[in-house]
Amino acid sequence: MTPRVKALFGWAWLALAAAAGVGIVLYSNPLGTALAERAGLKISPHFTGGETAAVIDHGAYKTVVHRPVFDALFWQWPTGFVQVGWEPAGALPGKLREELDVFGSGARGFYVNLDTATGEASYEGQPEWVTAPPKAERLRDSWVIRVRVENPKKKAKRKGPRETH
Amino acid sequence: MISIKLPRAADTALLALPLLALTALIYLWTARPAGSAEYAAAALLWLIFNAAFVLMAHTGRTDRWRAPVFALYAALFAASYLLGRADVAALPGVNADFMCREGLPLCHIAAFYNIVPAALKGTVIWPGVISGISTSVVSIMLVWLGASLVLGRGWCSWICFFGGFDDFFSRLLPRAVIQRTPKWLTSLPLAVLLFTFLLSTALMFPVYCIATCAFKVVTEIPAGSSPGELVRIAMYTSVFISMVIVLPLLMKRRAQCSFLCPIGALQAGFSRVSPFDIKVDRSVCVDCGACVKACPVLAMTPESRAAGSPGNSCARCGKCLDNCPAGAIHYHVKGTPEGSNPGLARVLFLYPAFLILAYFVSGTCVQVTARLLRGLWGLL
Repeated sequence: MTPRVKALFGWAWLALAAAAGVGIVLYSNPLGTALAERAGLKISPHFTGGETAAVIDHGAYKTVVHRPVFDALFWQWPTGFVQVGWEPAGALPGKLREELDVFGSGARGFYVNLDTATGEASYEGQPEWVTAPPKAERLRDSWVIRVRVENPKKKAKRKGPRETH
Repeated sequence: MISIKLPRAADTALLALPLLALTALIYLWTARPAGSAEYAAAALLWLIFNAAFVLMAHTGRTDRWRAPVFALYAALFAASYLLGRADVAALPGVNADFMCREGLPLCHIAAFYNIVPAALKGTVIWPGVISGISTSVVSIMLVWLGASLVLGRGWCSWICFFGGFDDFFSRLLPRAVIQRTPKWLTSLPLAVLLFTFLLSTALMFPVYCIATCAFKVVTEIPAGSSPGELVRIAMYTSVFISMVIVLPLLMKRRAQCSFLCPIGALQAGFSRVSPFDIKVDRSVCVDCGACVKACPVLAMTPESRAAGSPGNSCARCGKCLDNCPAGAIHYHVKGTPEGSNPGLARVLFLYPAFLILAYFVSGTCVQVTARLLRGLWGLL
């Protein structure tokens, strides 16, 4: 390649890169919105708690149960969580006691107690697949607990077939 | 070919006027001032940042005028993050850390870790807003990619809103206390990049941001409401103090950028694509070593100087140009004959750098400056 042609390519690349680079920066918002819509991007369930699996209406307030989250890139983690929320925060009773069916399998006898004044939470009838005590968090207009659970699929694989959750 | 000779008042005006007009348009378009404080903030910042360009054009010095506005830029971004964090913490009955997870502004370091999970699973591993605002996940990704395409690792000296911190501290002492730097240290960012990228992709969790980032101290420091958070606060603070304050002070180098930042390593890759580089005219060079001593990111070494270019790890800050007594170092458009028109190449680099900088300053910096002006006005 002659120096003249090389220089021509250099200037051409500069013009292209500068126009594209500055253009992308200045139009990043509309471009980003279009790109996000096309790609169907969503925030990781590890932050959002995952999609809503069930809503239980109690009249003044409701309980929102999210899907179990064990997500990794190409596999599932052996442990994860199920996020359960109560909203709106202002309508919740001072002491809340609710039976939880976190996997939606009809399991009975697992209760959570939540003091909405102090944020203290506890479990009753805690099954063996619940791996940690509860920690309640107050959000904008709700209380949430992430019930730390073992992944039933992974547990079934490790221990062989059995009745799970 | 146009010949631009600096410094001359007429040349300065000719060079600066288009940029002043373009940045004014960007400020009007991006800032969308809502009140008198926003107008005042936009005018003030437009004036300060463009004054830096005018002085660069007029004096022919680059780093001398870049450094103060770069430090101001970093301080304004930190103020913006910390005030936003304080707002969340002040909301009644709200756990600030959990709240932050619902709409955390993304930075370019986190943007990189999101690319593979977003492409493969459509999942963003950051608790922010996906699109529609300038600090949303996809917008920051695009801004970072667009700017890197033009500036390469120049991103680290012109656009990165964290870089101003260690850049500032690396200038405070008159001479370096630690003179020698083991060469392997400059390879660390690549190791950090590879390790944290693989781990973040596998875990679908921004490992670097949660475990290591020095700049959490000036952005989203946790509340310290649990032992885990206290450990994280201790870690963030120790990394910040050691890498951003103490080492830059003692070494007169940008230690965080050179020895830790994974994006710094990545930007060196973008420098291969960028149309600009820095060249040393060997026929003029007097081998005094001033450039090697001045280089804040250790890109200029006796070997690279002898080879005629600091290479891809160069952050295009212009410090070596300012410190070269022989005027042997210059910006260069790749492919074009070396030294044929160094003034033009420099201006062609400065224009996109200032336009992209104006985009950032006119958004977040204007908002936070307006808020500070309102606070100041309230005090008076």
